[in-house]
Amino acid sequence: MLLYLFYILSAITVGCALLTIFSKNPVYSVLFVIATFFSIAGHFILLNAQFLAIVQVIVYAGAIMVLFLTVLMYLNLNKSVESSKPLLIKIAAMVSGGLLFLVLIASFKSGLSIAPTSVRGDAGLIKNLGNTLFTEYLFPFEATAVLFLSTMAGAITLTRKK
Amino acid sequence: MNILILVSVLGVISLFAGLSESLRQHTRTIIVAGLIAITGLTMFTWNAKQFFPEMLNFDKYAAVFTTVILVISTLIFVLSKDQFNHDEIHKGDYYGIMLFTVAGAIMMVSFSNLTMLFLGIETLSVSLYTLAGSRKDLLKSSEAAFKYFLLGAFATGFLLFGIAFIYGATGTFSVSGISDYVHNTPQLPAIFYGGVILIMIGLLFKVSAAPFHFWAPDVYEGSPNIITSFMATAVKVTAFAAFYRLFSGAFVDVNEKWDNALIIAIALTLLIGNFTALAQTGLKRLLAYSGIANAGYMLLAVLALKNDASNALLYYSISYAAASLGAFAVLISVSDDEKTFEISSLKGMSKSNPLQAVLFTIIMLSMAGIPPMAGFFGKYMVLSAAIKEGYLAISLLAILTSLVGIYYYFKVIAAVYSAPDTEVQTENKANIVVFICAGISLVIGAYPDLILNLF
Repeated sequence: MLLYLFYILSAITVGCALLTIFSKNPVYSVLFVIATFFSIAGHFILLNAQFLAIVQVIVYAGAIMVLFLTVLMYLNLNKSVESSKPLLIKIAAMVSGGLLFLVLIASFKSGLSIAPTSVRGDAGLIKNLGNTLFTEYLFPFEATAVLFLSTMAGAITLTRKK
Repeated sequence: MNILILVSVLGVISLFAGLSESLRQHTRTIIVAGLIAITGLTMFTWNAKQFFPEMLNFDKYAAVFTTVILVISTLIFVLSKDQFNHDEIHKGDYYGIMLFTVAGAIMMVSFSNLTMLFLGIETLSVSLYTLAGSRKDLLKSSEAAFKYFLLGAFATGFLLFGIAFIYGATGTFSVSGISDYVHNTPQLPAIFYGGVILIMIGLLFKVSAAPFHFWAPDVYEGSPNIITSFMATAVKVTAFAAFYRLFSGAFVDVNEKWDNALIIAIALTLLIGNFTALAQTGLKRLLAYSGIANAGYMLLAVLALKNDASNALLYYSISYAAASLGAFAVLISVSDDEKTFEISSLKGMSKSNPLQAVLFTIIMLSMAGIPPMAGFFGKYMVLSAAIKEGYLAISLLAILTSLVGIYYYFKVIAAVYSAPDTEVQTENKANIVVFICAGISLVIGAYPDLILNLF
């Protein structure tokens, strides 16, 4: 049962991700990204990580992608303005992308286990996550503050009027 | 640990210093004084108590590179006197973000856990994206920030993907944990090697090595001069220190699996960096390509890490940072951010400012690797480390391409000493930073043991 669910979710994820790239209209692309994020949240639930699933939906699908959509509509970018690239560049991109794909497939082949098994079944629960975050990973948690402070200062600096 | 907190606090102080008029005048002085004090403190915490050793291991390697980064940053703050005048009121913001960059750099040289490496790289990069675009009135500055941001985010994706692979294989983020795993597992899963290569791609981007160097010339060219000098010195040294620390700490036992990939990257870096630099007419672009070429020599130290090449890497980093910072200090003294500065505009410097011309010559000779300057011994050390490990072909290529390098560095020197197009007034002064950099290039060239005995 779980395995079938996993296959269905994976098919939706990969399909939506591909549609994101192939749709000509940027608004459709964003909508497909949101669908991708939702199905990834489904994967998190399969791994018994409810908190991550909720965060994925609220932060990524909810906040960030809606922001994207709003910006796209403000800038009126819903027409496709794709510039065509020279054939040589297209071929080069295809070859290098294909090579990367091949390498990744080869490296996954040996260690591939398809069923969603997490090392510790309850690692993704809020209680355990919070425990780890505030004991073992306390220092990275605090150091993130520097990153966020710098990002905020940078965003204000860049958007401020003279 | 203490150092990291102090630098971050200094950054916060600098952000808030803009609130009062009198404090705003002295922000830079306060920061320089603070950084000098912190540098002094770093030397006393050589063997201090560790607080989170499984996250940040402030060992000797970390302390030495932290000191180097702090010294370079102090010199850059000295140099930044009139650099943010276009936005006088908000100077403190730029200084603050630069200090956060330094905080990220300290995380990167002292990490003992991949989470800290990632956080450090992000803190460093995100701050730099903003700084590259800090001249909002100039189109090329915004372009540089945008290019850097897009490509940098892409490279971060590779790095993170690699870290996830490694975690999938080993089940740990800790560098020593990964190293234990490599020791105790007879047949490593292929996914582990995939992770190593992806991490290597991410880090090669950050050190601007070919074939991931395409961002470097445009970003260096477009960013404000002071930020470019920061990127070319402190940031580059940091990225190499982190690269070496990770690969010598975690992946040293599987080095026969990744050294071929690295050799190809080094060969491309040396060839592309040196030969493209030949064609440059702008001084800043020339320095950008010379930075790429130098990345190739520093990667030789990473390649030879099996036999502890950290000495060679440290020496090369210091000699390169001193020469590069000196060259940028000269560039800052003769040009502004707005237009491209051509090498031919250097003509007549020996008449108009003989002292600076002499110091600039010393710096360029050090970059070209002419004895007895520091640059020569730096190249000598990384090459001998690589040859000792048996990497003969790539070392030979490095020697040959460094001969190409001599040509374009001498082109700059020739411009300095050729006759000026117009009559010029003589003045005999040089920036203090040019002085210090030329001095370092000479002194550690004459007494290499000053640096080598640190470890």
